[in-house]
Amino acid sequence: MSNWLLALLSMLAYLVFAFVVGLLAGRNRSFWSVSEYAVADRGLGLIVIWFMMGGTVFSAFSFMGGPGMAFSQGAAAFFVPAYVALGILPWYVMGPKVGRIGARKNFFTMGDFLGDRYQSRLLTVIVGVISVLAFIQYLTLQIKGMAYIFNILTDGLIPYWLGALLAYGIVIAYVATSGVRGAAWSDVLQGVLMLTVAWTVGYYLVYTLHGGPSDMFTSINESRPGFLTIGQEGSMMSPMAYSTVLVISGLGFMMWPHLFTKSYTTTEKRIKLTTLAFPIFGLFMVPVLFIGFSAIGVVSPDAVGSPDQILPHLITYVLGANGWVYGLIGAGALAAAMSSSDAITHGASVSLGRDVILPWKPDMTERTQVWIMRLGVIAIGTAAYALAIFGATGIIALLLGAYGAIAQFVPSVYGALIWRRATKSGAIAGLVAGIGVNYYYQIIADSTPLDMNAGFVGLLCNIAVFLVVSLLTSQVPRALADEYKNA
Amino acid sequence: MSSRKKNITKSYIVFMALMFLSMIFPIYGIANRVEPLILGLPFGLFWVVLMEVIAFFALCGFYRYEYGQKGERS
Repeated sequence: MSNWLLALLSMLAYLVFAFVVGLLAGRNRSFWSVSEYAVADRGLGLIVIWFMMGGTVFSAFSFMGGPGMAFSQGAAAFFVPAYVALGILPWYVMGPKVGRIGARKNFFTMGDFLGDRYQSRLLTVIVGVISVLAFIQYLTLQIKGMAYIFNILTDGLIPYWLGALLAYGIVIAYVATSGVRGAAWSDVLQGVLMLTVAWTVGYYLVYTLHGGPSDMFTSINESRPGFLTIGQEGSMMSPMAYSTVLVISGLGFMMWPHLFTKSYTTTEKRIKLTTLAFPIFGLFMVPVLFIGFSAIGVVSPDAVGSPDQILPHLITYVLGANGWVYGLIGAGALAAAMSSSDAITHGASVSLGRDVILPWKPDMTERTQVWIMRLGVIAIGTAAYALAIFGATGIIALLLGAYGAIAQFVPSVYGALIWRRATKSGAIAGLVAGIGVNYYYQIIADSTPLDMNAGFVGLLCNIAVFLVVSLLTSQVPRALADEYKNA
Repeated sequence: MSSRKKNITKSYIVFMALMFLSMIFPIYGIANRVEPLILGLPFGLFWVVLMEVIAFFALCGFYRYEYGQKGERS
């Protein structure tokens, strides 16, 4: 059987399987409850929550962007395993607090949380709108990843638009029907699959092409001195740029609304156990980088259209002989992209329903809310799909761009939990300043002060404005501030 | 919040700050080189792996300290 046919069949088989698991997950659960749809009635088990958090990390970014970054930027890619481990750490103390407040006050989103603490419906809407926009950007990247995989592995037989439609259509269907449980259970399946694939492929490539990791890194170091370090002659990134991108990604990680709201889905003990397992997820990322490093000296940088395509390129042109590897990689990469897409699509639909639409019409029935969220899945899905097919930007720039804006929630969220004096005007002004500065440096300006990451510059301005404005404006009721601080 | 719990939170925050600092410059500068290769990894990447292993054991320590006596809190 030819390679592309084998690849196509295994990817289709995988898609059917994922679809069934996703749909079954929502069986026998109340279809019309916001609490069930949004946070699984606050009762997800440990294994599920573990894979759900992990699955969102192992995204198209890690499968396509990670190797691409290693291939084109060398040591700068070490940031990937580092930020995965750092990003979760704050959750150990922050998660249980947020979870307790959420259970007491019946919260489902980050907008609920901030809107109540700062007594501002406007803030809820701002958080909702930013989240939905960032989610759409993030989704666009996953969809592109799925489309690449289908397109390249089937020798161009399945066009971009169709590959994306097949894989993402299934995600939309099971998220709309099964809510967070659909996303969570399919993540368990996808997690197992992609971990197996990442390790097999990473080590396989290193040993076939270079005879082992030591030989590979030694030869890279000889042919390109400085490439495997930061901030030296021949390095691709400066120490300041590396440090600030790591800090902003690490702090921003838990500010992604779909991860933040996982605090509401489970118990304190499980939150802590999930955090505990995460540094191990960081280790899992190392072989993924091997994929990109193994291509150095084997594939010429001009041969791939963009570094993100390095994995499919290697499979097609370097490993061409192994039909079964084809299928396995196809399914694994799809799993990676889908397990992020489902959680993000779900998060976006909840944000849209609760934070963007509900504040305008607070007397909406629960049934209407659930309807809006389920329709939101389709609306957001369509928007991201259209952007993925018709728009074009490099995957990493896109993710880091969205990240910069999301990390701007840091002062308001932590302010809510630790600083009684934090006020509504401070939170809003800081957020607006942070996002404005981030976008200025990311899109308009050519360079940033001291080569710092744009989101990091934004965060510094954000914190300054947040502190000053909070001190100048009147506080929220003392009892409310205490409730958040002492939770 | 009990004082025992407060203490954990404080030491946890210190631990977290140390983890972040170990991964960024200037401290990461110690590890920012290729030689020696350990476990086949350039030293800069091995450092990241090492810190993750340390983080894992530290987290296990925190967890044991809090939940050591089984079923005390859920």
